[in-house]
Amino acid sequence: MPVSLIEPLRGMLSDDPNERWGLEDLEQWLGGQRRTPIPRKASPSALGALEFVGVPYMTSRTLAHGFAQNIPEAVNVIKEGRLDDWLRRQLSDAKCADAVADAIKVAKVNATGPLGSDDYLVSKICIILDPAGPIRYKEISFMPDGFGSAMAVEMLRRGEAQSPAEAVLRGLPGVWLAAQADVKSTASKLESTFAEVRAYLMSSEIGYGIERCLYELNPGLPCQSAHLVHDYVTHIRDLLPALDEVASRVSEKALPIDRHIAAFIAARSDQDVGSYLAALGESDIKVSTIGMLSLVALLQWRLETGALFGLTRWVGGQLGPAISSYHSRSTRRHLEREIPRLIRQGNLPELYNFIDDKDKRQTDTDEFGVAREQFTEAEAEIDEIEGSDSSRAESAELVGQKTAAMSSVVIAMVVVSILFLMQSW
Amino acid sequence: MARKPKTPEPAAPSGKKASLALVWTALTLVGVLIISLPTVIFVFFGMLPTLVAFIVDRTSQKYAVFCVGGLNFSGVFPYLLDLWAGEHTIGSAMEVLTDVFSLLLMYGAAGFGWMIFIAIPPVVGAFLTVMAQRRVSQLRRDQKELIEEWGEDVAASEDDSVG
Repeated sequence: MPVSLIEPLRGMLSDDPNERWGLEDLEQWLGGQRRTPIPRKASPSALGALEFVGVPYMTSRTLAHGFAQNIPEAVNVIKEGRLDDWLRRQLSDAKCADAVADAIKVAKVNATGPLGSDDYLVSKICIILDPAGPIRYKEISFMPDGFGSAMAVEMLRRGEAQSPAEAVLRGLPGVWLAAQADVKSTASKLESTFAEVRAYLMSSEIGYGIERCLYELNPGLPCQSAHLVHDYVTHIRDLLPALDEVASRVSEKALPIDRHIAAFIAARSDQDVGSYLAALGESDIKVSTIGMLSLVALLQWRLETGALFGLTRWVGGQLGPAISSYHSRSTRRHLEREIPRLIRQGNLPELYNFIDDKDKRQTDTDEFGVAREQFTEAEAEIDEIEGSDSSRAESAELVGQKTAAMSSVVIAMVVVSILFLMQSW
Repeated sequence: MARKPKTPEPAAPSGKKASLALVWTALTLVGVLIISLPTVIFVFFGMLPTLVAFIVDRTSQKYAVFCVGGLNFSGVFPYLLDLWAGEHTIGSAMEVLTDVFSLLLMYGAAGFGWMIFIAIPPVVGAFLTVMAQRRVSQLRRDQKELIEEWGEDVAASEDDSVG
């Protein structure tokens, strides 16, 4: 390697972002301007090597890298105490050795939980051995400020980002930040970002989870929904027109809003859509269908998108459960008759207002309550009639006897009157 | 020292009233016996079925007595009128009472009263049962219409629907 290239290479490959060369530094070097050479910061080297999977390691940084490549072997080295010996005797770093010992103790205490897993233990020890290095967890490694990109890469390559999500849920970014010798200005921002990411990850509801983190942390990432992955939708304004086109080539039974689209809307919308997502995520299909309709109607209204015939037809075809949320059969029949007319207008807000009309729903609920009362009263009366056979027989006998007595008395009076009259004349 | 509250005066026993009524009845009967013995004899024997009904009917309403008595009197009254219009003697009264046809009419009328008393209650019972069945059918029809309009949920109690 030419000696003259050492300076720009060292500058561009510096671990410290503050020292690392940018484009301006490179232009100055090309212009012949001499710069203060960056001093070489070599990691402390051990007196003797630690043999790990056949490779001799002399520094803790390289060993951390090696551990991350072979977690089962690394666990053996850690638990057999060989790492502790090497740190204390060969590297003379008692502080690091104590931190490793503490990490092992914590893992033993949490042996049955996720914080006692081998993956977590090795990841934590890698951070202790190499605080300036990335967070290494399972098969991935990332710098905290590059977490979003790492997640996106995992998602694009594997179709899932379970490992980065686990790393955050198990608090590894916090461990990494705590291991940093000097507190950086970006630390608090990172902490708040990871707190937010953790909150999203802890919810499995639609509109949250890994997908939400993906779009929150990568503002330029296109929507990864199976419906839209080939349409490269990066802006929310393009979402509904893209779905409108998709409507003609997907099955009518496919749901228009999946987890990716919901998370994309939540991350890109300038409006709080939490209540819409809550409705969409309801287990009751009637509520979730109305939630889905309300969300797309809100977007069409807010973004002032033109008529969406395909999407309206697609959504309209899925409104069966929303229609059946009304109790009255005649109201349902009326809705079923009117929906095709509204679909032909391509207007989702109008469709939503028609389906979820407050007055209509209130009337339906009230009248249903009255009908239920009538049914209950009728049932009670039937029970009373059917359950009172013996008492009815008793009362019938009494009424019969009374009627007989009255009849007899009336006959007597008539006879007496007639005879009396006959006698008089 | 506080006074003891006055205990309410005990009501007059109902037995006293009853005995008073008995005295009045006895006096009236004696009076009537003196004034009109043939009528009393005739009415006593003619209305014997009613007396039997009075003894047999243990209910407080005494519907059987009214039923039998009414028709029994209808049978007795024509002869009673004859007695009053004709010779009002014990002999005339006995003559009527020993006539089989007149006895048949008086006691037959009483028997008809018994027949009415026995026959009418089942008829009324059947009528009430038919009315109840009609009402049940009407209610079932109403319930069916409610289910047709509101679905099976209308039959569920509010607790079920909340659950």
